[in-house]
Amino acid sequence: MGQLSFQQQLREIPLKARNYSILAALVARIGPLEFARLYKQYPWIPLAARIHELMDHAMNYRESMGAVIQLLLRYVSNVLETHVKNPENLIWYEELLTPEIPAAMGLTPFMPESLGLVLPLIESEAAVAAVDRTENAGYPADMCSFIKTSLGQILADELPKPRVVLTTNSPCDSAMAGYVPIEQRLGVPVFRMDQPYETNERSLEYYTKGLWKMIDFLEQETGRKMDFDRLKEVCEERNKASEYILEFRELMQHRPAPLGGLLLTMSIFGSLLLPGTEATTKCSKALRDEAKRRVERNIGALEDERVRVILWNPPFLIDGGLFQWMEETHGAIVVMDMLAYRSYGMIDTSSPESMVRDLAYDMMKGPMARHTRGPAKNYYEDLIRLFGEYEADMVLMASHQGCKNALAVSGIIRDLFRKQDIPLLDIQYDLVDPRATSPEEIRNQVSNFMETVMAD
Amino acid sequence: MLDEKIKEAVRTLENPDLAAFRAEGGRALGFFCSYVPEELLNVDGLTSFRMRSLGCNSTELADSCMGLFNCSYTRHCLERGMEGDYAFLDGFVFVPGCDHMRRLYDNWAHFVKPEFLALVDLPHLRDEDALKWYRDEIEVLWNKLADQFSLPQGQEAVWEGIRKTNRTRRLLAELDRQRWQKAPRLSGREIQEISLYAASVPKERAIPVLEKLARDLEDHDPPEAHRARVLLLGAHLDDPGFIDVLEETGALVVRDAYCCGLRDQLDSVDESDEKGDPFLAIADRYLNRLSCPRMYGDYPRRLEQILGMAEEARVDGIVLEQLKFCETWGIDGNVLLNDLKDRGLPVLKLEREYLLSARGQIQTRVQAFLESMGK
Repeated sequence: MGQLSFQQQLREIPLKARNYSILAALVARIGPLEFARLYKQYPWIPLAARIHELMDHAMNYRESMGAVIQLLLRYVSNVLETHVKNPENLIWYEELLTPEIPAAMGLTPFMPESLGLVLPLIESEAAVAAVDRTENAGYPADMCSFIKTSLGQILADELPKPRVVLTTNSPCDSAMAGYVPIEQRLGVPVFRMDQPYETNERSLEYYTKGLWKMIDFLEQETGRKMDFDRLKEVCEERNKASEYILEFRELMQHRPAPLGGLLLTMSIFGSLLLPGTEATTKCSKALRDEAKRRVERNIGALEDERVRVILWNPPFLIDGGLFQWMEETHGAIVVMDMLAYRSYGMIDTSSPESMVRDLAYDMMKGPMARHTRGPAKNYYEDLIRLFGEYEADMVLMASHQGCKNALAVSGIIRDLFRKQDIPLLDIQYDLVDPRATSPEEIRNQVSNFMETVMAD
Repeated sequence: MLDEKIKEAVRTLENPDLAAFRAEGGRALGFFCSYVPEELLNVDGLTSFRMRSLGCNSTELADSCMGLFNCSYTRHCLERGMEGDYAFLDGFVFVPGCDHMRRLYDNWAHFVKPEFLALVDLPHLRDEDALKWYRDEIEVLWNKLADQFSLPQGQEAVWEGIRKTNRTRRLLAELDRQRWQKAPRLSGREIQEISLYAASVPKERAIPVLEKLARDLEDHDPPEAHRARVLLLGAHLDDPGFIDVLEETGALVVRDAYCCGLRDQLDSVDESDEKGDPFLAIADRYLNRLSCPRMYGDYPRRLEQILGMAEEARVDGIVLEQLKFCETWGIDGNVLLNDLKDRGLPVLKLEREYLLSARGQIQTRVQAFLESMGK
């Protein structure tokens, strides 16, 4: 890993100051004693406070990484403030639901899975204690460790308790079934969305009805009224951010790719955690602007881009430095990945009906809803199309052992890739548990592949 | 002893009754999950076959397609499918029952490429909208079947399939009820064999055999002495060898709620309004029966039903079997295990593979379980 130059270090000061000021503002709003209590009660807070370390994995594009980190801090800060000051306004939503509707009702949505998504990037073993806790409580070791993480945190009361929970049957059975013990443990009302197998007009109508029922449920359980004017504002803001991100994604097709792989993965956080907010729009614009500037000047994230990679399945969260290491060691850059390939559908804000319908459609087309809950053809057709569109040289398959859906498509993928001569590196590992396959082993496998197959 | 016909149908895949039915021009359709609307597959000219893969000792091909972390039932079926062992079937019907089953469907389409393949999109919820959704899905399946196999148009054909399937289920329910008595005439293994037989041969051939069994039950040799009465719960189980291990160790299965046992067979479709909508009647039956943990938000109802079943059959304990890598039973089953124990019911949870292995280990655990109950 390279060292920052003096100039870079100088530029870093306002970035760090901006990020830490968000935490400082939280302390001021809830009071130092309350913050100290949370810091002690929730072991993930000290870890989350180290999020600035992710800057070390973004040597060449620190402005953009700083913007994403700022966004994450805002999200955590909002959740903790609501938890302390208005706990009746805190609700949970599962990762495949987008939170525009509860946000428009003046509620603060928290995605319990978000910690499992971010913390291992900072500290490889961040989720291990929660995973062990879930397994020790009798839950299967082979269920998705992403869910084991949130369930383990819930079993130890390490997450701020919600008023209600919103969940879906996506992306997999682990996530769906995991909400049985979560519901029992929390003892709060749970609303379940039911996504059909195919995405078509009929299933959209069914899913949209579900979303209307979710609105009724939220009104009934929280006493808040649905505010469609506010939803319109949220959706319009969301549309702005989506346009920036779609443009950013398109810019990643440029050769050389303007920004690095980790940033691409992290670009989803705005739409996942704080959609329809000015903070997300600002962050998305920062990504687009930096990518655009670089493309105009023909500056790549790498000086010598040798291998363009499509990363499929959720990324290797246990190794936040993998992207940068691949870039520096092998000149290999991830130009698109499954999570970044969200639909970012524009929401028609002309009526409440059009907004609810378009939000439903967007959820159904979410990266894992579409790929793992839906037919396998969604999974491999998207992948093969992206391979062509991004002029990729190889596919890196992050075969998370808890994702049975994806593992069970491996034969079809191999068959199709062989016929189309697409180089494939398939690494079996666990999304958040480095004890299954260590980061070092993952890197060894990448090196072996680069030095043999991709060297030809 | 059960009729040799029954035993043979369990031992083999293509049984003589099925072969004779096809020789007469009938068509047989394999189905993979108890939520497939079997009634449609039993209209005149068609018969249903519950997919099994016993006798398949290796899953080399299927493992390379589905990986080792997927359920071994689906891998065994895929192996045989890829080997062409289901050539005696004219088509296959799936529901997206679980992650493994959905991907089995995808692999089936890609590698097995049968002439007729359908997936009925079973919802995860049970509310009014879900009922309507499933009703429409069932009608779509019916149209596909009618088109592919030149079936008679009109709903009367569907009602005929319903009547035939209902008749089979009522006979199975009658046999089941005698097990709850103090001195059952049929063992858990025998009930499983009967259930598998009924799911593997044309209903018109199964019905007389079941009627005779019900009639002659008093003459049937009762099961050997046992130490405890148990309710067997769980996932797909079509290997009578597993129940043998339980019963040889002294745990007589007097009631069951596992897949391929009677869990899926005990509720009939409402036939009272034959001028009504048969697709709605079928959908209603499937969404209201004792659910599989793949159904969503239905855990409290399922728990109460299981408790009711245990009480009716006066069981001493519950054996919960689950296939390795099955998340729905693995997660839901753990909650269930704790809740049943909290209600004072002894529970033994056994994780297994599709093919019976570690027989001695299972035996030891069952023995310890019986002893823990003071039996």
